[in-house]
Amino acid sequence: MKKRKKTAIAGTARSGHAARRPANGRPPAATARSRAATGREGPFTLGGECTVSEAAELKSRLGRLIRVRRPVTLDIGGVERIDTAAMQIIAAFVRDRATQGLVVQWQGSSGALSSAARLLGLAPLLKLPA
Amino acid sequence: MTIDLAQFHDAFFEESFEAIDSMEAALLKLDVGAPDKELINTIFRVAHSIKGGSATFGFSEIASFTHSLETMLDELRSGTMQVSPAISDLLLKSVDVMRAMLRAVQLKQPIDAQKVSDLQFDLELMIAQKKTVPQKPDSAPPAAAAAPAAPAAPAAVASNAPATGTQARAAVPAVQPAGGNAESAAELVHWRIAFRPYPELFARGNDPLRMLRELARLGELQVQADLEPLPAFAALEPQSCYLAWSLELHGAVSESAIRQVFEWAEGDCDLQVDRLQPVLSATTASQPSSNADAQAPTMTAPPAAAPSASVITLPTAATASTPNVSGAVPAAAASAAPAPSAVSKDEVRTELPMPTAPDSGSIRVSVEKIDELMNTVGELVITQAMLSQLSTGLEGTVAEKLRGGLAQLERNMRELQESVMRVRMLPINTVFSRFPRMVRDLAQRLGKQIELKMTGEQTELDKTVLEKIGDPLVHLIRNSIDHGIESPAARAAAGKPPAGTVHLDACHRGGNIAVEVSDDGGGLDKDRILAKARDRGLVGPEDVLSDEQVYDLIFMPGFSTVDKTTDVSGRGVGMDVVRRNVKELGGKIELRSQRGKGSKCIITLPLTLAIVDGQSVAVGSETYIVPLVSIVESMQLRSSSISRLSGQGEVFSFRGYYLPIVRLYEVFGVEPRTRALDEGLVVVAEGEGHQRIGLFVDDLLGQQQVVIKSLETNYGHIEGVSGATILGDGSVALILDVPGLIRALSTRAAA
Amino acid sequence: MANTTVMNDGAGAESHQVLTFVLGSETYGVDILRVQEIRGWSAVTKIPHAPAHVLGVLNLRGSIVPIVDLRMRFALERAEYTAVTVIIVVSVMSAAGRRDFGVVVDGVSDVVNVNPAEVKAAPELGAKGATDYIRGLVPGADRMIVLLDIDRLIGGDLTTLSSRLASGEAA
Repeated sequence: MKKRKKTAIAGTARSGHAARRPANGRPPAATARSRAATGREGPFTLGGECTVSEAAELKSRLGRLIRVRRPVTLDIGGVERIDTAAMQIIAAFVRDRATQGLVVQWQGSSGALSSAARLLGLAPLLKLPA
Repeated sequence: MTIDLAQFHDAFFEESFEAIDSMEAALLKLDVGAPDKELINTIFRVAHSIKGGSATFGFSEIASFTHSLETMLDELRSGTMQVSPAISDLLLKSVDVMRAMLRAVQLKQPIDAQKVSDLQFDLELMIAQKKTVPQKPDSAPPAAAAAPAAPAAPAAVASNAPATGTQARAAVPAVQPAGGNAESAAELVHWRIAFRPYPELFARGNDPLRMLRELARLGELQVQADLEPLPAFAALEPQSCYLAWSLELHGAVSESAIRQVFEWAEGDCDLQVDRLQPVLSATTASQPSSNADAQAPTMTAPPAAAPSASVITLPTAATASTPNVSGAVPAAAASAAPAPSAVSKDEVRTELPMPTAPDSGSIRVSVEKIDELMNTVGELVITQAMLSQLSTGLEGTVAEKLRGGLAQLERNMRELQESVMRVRMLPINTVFSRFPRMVRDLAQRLGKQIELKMTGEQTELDKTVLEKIGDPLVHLIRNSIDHGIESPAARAAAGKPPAGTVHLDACHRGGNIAVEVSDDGGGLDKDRILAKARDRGLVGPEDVLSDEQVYDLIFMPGFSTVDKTTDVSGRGVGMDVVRRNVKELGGKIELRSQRGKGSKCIITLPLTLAIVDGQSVAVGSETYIVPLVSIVESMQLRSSSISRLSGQGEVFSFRGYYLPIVRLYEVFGVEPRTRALDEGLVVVAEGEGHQRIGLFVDDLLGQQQVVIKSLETNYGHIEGVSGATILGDGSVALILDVPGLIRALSTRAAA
Repeated sequence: MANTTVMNDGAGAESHQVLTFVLGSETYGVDILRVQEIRGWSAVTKIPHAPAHVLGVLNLRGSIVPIVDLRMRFALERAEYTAVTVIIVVSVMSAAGRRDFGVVVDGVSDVVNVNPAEVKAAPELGAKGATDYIRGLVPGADRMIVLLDIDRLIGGDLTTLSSRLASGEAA
């Protein structure tokens, strides 16, 4: 019998999710809710804390959507804090999709994200709703 | 700030402690009469970066205190205050206080607020007094010109009575929005800023967003992001910074204010600040020219940056191609002892201390990562050994080729292993650097004149060894100063120069490192040591001892020849502890002395604790490793040489002494192949001092270098066992701790 | 392994997964998140003066891991170690931090979803506290599963271990 992979059960076991949570106790960049939704319809939800410590996770989750042909919707309504590392990932995501003619739509609004986009000079690229 | 800063605390503390060490070193080199400007600059920069860091992390007490310190340093730098002995002492005390504060914050303990505020008061009082003392008329303008680097602070403190200094300071920590008071606030300037972070900026806890936000507060900010370096999504490293920015800032802002925004990223970015055509408002005085502004930033920039150049290119980038691993080590391994530096009151060598934060051409890696790497390499070594073993049973031309390949692999493995070991190596300087201060303080307290010479500071050794060698060295140096070096009068009477010398030297010797502490003091008084030992019954009245044996007495627990105890040393603890520590590191200590000329202590240590040369021995089905350093000889006993002593168990005679026989199978509770002493072998092993035992084992298997693994990670400490290792076949063997075993057995015998 | 339970996505959010194994005639379960690895039996290196149920240490990908015989821990009759004897490597959390231990069992059976609502408290067997390490009992279709609290089972007595030779032949 081989070692059982913990990741295989993380989707269903609550304790599995808790174990993957970073030590600071904040929710990861993308919530479990979005995980279920990413494969099919519905928006990809960004977590409340989008920071460098969650950047790898954010990248891997967004990475699954990068080649999706249909328009991808990012729900940014819950973003409370975001830093350059996370913004950079979102920017690369939006840009790469745009170069292939693929659409990224926004749902909800976040003061933190809008102000970051403006200050980092990324607003023209992201085209966030006013 | 949007980054969770807690994850960067460790790096901050580590860097800050190092910074404080270098600050202390620089302070000690500071000449009271004519201080070296570059030294003061270095000290200022350290204080400045600690202030910036602690403010970023919200350690306001440290930031506040460091601010006062910085203010004084700024006064010294601008020449409005002179370095006096009082100021020098105050600065050294500040170093201690900063260190204590950092430690307290790190351990989440309360800061000794009284001590801090007392010293802060002293600092401010000193600044204020200097300020009120009538100054030469020509010194006033420079004071104003120097102000921008620490915006508003000197002015604020000066204009207030010392008692209200705290209030004045409260307003300071916020970045002075419109430039310092001393600058013209009315001048509207158009700045162009090119901000190009290095990829590791995030990892250092910096967030460009925070900096841009601060800039936006200073004036009207236009941002243009450069997306060019941003790789395709799939290739993007989530923790690396790719973006760069061209910024235009419009407002009544000084260059120093702009640079201050980026100060915490100093070393992690390219920053260029250019002034576009100035827009003069009606009220502007023409005096704060761009020239004056351009000079201010050099105070925060590394010394390499020329005063007028606005580009701060960091040493890290320039030398990144020669990382520590491959570049620095071989040179150090050659045991070069570069530029002996001497520290004393009379002689000041202004060898410029390294700017601390951007340590050129090196990266900071956590020890765990290196240990992980070591583990993996250790695994590889075992796998390789296993393959080699397997290949010996094969025949034919292919097997021949396979063996050739495996031999090559083995060579590569050995090189890889050595390289990884070297990553853990640090120059011994990190230990040495605390001694100048200690020597200075001790000398002062004892009324002696001491010159401390240090050579071979760049000699590298394993971090673990490094951490444990500090305390023994402290003991030895204290001993030298307290007991070795005579008072100036006594020295004069003996025809010696009044200042005694303590010499600290490190060098590589074979596979070991030798650290020597020597002094030109009175040397050891053999007769007195012997008399004392006879007094205590340690030595029989008729015994004749060699010099070596006499000096060895000093390492006996509780032995001290000093009649009156001082608070420096001489309480009879010390040398025995020193020897135990050295032994625990697998090293040895020797003493040499010449009456009237001085004494010398030589510590020999292994380069690393991760590997030990061992002898494999078999006991029943188990294999144990006995470190070669503990082995005197191995032999087969003839039954005629064995005798039984009542209450002592079995002994055998070895070089004229009777040594106890320790049956390893009995001690470790395993079933041996033989219980007959003349059928097995005896390994004569040595513990502390000259305590020897004969370890009875079934057989000797072979000698090999083994990688030491901790048993305590998952289990616990086992008496008589220092760790475990993994053998070529993947099984585990315990490594004997001979001194520990002897200690444990004698405790048991006594009980 | 035989009759592995289907991993049911529809299982309640509250359920968690348990690795079950057999010891004598009993079935025990440990939280699967604590299971690092399952490996076959191999000879161990003895540790001097360790408690009797600590068989020794093994090399587990470069780290030295103590091996505990659960039969001896539970004072069951000792079984022979054979090729089918299994070692479950578990992480134990203790005051001293995380430690890895290997646990020798007769055989591993299943991974099952356990709904906390089904877990029954262990009966109090006297005041000996001998059932401290039992988190609860889960009635199964054919047999009952004893859920173990490995932190208490192993952590309690082994994570503060150190062997003193001076204490004599305690083992």
